[in-house]
Amino acid sequence: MRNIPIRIAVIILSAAALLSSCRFRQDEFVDFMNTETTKDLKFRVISQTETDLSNGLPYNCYLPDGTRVHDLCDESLPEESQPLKKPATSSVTATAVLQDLLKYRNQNRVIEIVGTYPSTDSNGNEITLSGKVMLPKNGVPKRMILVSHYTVCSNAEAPSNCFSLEGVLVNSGYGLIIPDYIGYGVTADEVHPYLVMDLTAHNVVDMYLAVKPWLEAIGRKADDPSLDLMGYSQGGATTMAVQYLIETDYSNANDIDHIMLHRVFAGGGPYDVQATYERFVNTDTAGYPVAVPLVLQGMIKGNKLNMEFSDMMQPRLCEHMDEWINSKIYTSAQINKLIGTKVTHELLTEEAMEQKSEKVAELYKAMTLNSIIAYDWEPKASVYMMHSMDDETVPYTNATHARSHWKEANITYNFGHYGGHVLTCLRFIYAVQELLAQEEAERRKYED
Amino acid sequence: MKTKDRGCAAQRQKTATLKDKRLNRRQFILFLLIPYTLFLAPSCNTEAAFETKDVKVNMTIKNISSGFVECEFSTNKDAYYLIAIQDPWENFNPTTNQKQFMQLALDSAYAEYLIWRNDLLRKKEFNVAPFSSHSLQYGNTTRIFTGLMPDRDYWVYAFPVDPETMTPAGKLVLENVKTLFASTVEIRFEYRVRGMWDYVYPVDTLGRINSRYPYTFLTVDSAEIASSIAEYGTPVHFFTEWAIDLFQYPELADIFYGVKATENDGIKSTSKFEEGHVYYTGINGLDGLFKHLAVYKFTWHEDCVYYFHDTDSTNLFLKD
Repeated sequence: MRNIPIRIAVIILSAAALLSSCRFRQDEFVDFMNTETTKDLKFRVISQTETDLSNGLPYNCYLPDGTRVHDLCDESLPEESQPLKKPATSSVTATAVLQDLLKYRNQNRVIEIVGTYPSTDSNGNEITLSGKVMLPKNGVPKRMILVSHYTVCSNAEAPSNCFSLEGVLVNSGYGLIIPDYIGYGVTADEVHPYLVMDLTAHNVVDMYLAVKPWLEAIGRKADDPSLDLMGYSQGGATTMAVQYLIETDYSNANDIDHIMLHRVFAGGGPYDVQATYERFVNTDTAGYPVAVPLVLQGMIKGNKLNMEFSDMMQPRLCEHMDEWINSKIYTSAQINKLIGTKVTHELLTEEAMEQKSEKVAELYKAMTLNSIIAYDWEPKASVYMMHSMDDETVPYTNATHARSHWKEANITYNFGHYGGHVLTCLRFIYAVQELLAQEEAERRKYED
Repeated sequence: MKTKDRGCAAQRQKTATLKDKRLNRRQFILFLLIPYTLFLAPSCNTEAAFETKDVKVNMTIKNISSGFVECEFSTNKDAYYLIAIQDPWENFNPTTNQKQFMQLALDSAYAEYLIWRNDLLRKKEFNVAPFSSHSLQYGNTTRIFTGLMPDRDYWVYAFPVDPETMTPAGKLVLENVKTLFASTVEIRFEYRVRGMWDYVYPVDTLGRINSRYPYTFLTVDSAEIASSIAEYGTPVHFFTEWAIDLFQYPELADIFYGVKATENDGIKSTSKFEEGHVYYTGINGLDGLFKHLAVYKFTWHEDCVYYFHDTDSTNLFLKD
C-alpha cells in the first residue's frame, strides 16, 4: 500500500516521457513531399520513408546477383544461388563484410526520398525518370555522392524500389543520389539500354542537376559543394562515363550547371566492351550468361543498329527475351538458371562468333561507342579503381586495359584476389567507406 | 545414509573437479580464441595484400621481333614488382651488382613518380595515387615493350619491391634480348569502310585476328596531301615519311592491338569523312620499318561499303 503513490508517480512520469518522446519525434519529422518551396523544381517527390539501420540492413536490400541480403545469412540457400562462397584466395566471407559495412555508425536513420526528374531517351525525346535520394536524418550531408547502380534485372531491385547497398554510406554522414536507369522504376515498361554509356551518363547527371536545387530548397545542401561519383560493375563503367561527361561538358566554372568533381570510385566495371566480347568468343565461355542478351539488346536497340536479335543470338534466347529480360520479374541469378549454359556458341550465332563478319562489324560500332577506354580522354579528378582478379562476371582484362590506357592518370588501382564479382562488390563499398573516413581524418590532421 | 552421503559428496567433488577441468578447458579455449579474434579472424581488408619475403618474379620472353618484345611476368606470392626495358650499360654487370642496379632502377622510377605527383599537388589535388599504383606491377602482367630499334641489345628485367620502404624485396630477373634485324611476324592488315565507320583487322596467316601485334594507322584526305602526290606522283611518299617518323619517334604513335573500329565524324576521332572525297588510309605495324605498311585508297560516299585485302594496297613496291 505504501508503494502506491510511488507507483502512480512512476506511471505518470513514464507516460510523460513517452508523450514527450512522441512529441519530439513528431517535431523531427520533415515532410519533403509537401514543401511549397520545391513545387516548381524539376525533382518531384513521390514518396518518403525512413529506415533504421541499427538492426542491420533492411529486408528490401539486394546483392548484385539479385540475392536478398537477408537470404545470405540463410545457410539453407542452395549452392547455385551462393556466388558469395569463400574464394580460395581469400579468407573473407560475404557475411563478414556485410557486418563490417555497418561499422561506421555516426547515425542510423536514413531518409529515403523517391522522386522523378526530366531527362532524355535514346531518341532524344523528353522522358520522366525516377531515382532515390538518401539523406542522413540528422543534419545536412557532408557531401553528395552520385551513385550509378550495378546491373539489376528485376524491377524490385531498382534503386527507387529497394534499399541500395551503397546506402550504408549515409551512416557516415554522406548523402546519396541514385538514379534508376531507363527501363527501371517509373519506366519499367521500357527496354533497358544496357551499357549505352552516353545516354545513361546523361540520365545520371540529369538527376544530379535536378536534385541539387531541390536540396538547397529544403535546407539540406551538403557542407562540401563538390561531388563524389561511385559505381560498381555496370555502375563502374557508367561512373567513368559520367566523369567523362562532367569533365567535358560541365567543367566550366562560369556555367550555371558547373559540377565540381571531388573523387571518383569505380569497381568491377566493363570499361572495354570489345575486349569483353572477344573474351566471350575466344574462350567460348560466358561466366555471366545473362550479360549476353543484356549486352546485345543494349547494343542493338540502344544504338539502333541495323540488325535483328536473331542475327546474333541463338533462337532459344531470342524467343525468351521479353519473358526473361524485359519482363523485369527475374533476378540475374534466376535468368542465368533459365538460360542454363555458359558456353558462348550455345548463346551466339555462328556469325556473331566470327569477328570479321558483317554483323559483328556493325556490333563493333556500338561496342566502340560504349567502351569508355575507347574515348580520347584521360580522367582528371582522382579515381579509385578496384577489380578482383577472380572476377567471373566482368573479366579482369577490363581492369588491365583500363590501367594500360590511363597510364598517367591519377588513378589508384586496387587489383587483388578479392573473390567473385558479388563479394568484391561488398568489399568495394566497404573500401569506399574506409577511404572516405581516412580522407576525413587526414583533412582534420592538416587543419589542426 | 552416511555411505550414500559420502558417495554423493564424492560425486559432487568429482563433478566439481570435472566442472573445474571443463572451466579450465573453456578458459583455455577462450585464451586461444581471444588473440585469434583480435589478430587472426578474417576481417575485411580492402587493400591489396602484398608480401615482401621470399618473393620471386618470373619473366618469360614470349616474342622478340624487330620493333617490340613481348614478356609475361608473374610472382610466386602476391607482391609488387618493377618491370622495365633499357639499353645495356657499358662496363656494368647487373648480376654481380644486383642491389645497386635495382636501387638505381627503383630510384629512377620514383623520381619520375615524384615529378608527376608534384604536378598534381600543385594543382591542389588532395588524393594522389601512390607510387605502387602508379609505377609498380601487381599480379600477372603481359607487357609488349614497343618503340625498340631493330638488331639491338636490350636488358629486360623485373624485381620485387617493398612499396612501403621503397627498397627491392627480392632477386633481380634480367635477360639480355636482341631485337631481330627484320620482323618475322606473318601478318597482314585488312581494312573495311562502312559508311562513317572504318575497321582495321590485323590478320595472321590462318585468317585469325592477331591481338598482340602493335600497329598504328592514319586516314588522310587526298586533298591534304595533294602537293606530295603532285611532286612524287604517288601518295606512298607521304606514308613512307610518316612510317619513318614513327620509326624514329615511336613515342608519337597511338598504338592499337586487335580490331580497331573508328567513327570518322570529326568528333570522337580527328578524321572526318566527307561526301565524294578521296581518302588514303595507311596502316603500319610498329615492328621495324615498312615491314607491314599498307596503304588503301577509297572514295567516300555515305553508304559506301569497302573491304580491302593486302593485295589492294597501293604500296605494292613496299611489300615483302
